[in-house]
Amino acid sequence: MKKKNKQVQPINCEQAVARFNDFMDNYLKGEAREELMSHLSECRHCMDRFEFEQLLKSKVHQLSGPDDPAMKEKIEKLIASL
Amino acid sequence: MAVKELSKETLTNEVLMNLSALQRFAFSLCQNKQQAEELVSEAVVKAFENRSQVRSEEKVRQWLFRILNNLFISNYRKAKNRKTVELAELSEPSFSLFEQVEMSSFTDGGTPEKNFISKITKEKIYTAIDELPEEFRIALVLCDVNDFSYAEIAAITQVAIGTVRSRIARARNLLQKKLWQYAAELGISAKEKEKDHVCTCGKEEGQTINTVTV
Repeated sequence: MKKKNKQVQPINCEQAVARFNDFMDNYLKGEAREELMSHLSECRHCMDRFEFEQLLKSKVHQLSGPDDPAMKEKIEKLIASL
Repeated sequence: MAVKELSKETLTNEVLMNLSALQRFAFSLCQNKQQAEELVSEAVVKAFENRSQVRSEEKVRQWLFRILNNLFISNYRKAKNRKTVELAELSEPSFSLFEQVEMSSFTDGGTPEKNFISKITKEKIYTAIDELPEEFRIALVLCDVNDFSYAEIAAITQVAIGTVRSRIARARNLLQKKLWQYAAELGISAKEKEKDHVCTCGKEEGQTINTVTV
């Protein structure tokens, strides 16, 4: 597909930071997303801060630990009795 | 058109596939391992009793979490000293852990921010999440640990999507604040800032439009 250059309005750091959560959670679409990406490509400080926020989110995600075998056995027995 | 009842086999698979996620969620609600296990067991029994109510097999996971959340509210919440959202927390100013750590003297090779993240243990994150008000804790765990979308979290917790979005933002803000308290244990303290980051983005003459390739 042919790429096209699209002009986007610049946003400041405060506006960029306010969009981080939506961007991380895949809710930022269209122009708002392009404006943030353009800002991040030019503002090192915001890019560093965004990477930090993402790292922290992935750290929280690591709490999704492995299965608990004892609990699994208990629930399997419970289901069998239903 | 009659809705086909969810088979016992399908529901069993869904429960077992989501068991650890349900346990984590239950623990984040009860903050007690034994109660969390009881809550999961009760939710499983309730799910099997009501499996004819499921309208879409695609939403079984969401439905299981909703049952668990509802059971917690009706049977467990009252037994606990509930930490609710206080007005002061609702009006918390935005806090950036990044800004604090960036200005700290924490250098162990690499940038202070990345070093700090690598030093945070799972236990510290658990503790910080547990200290969040219930509404914030639930939204954060469902979103960042269990990967639910805002719409799914809204369906599980029965609040508007805008409320979910705001709770997640506030939860992340408070979590960062609590983790900054942990920084002191690592011997990290903020240096006095020479000055705050001053945004000059887009301020230079002739730089009113950025161009991106899409």
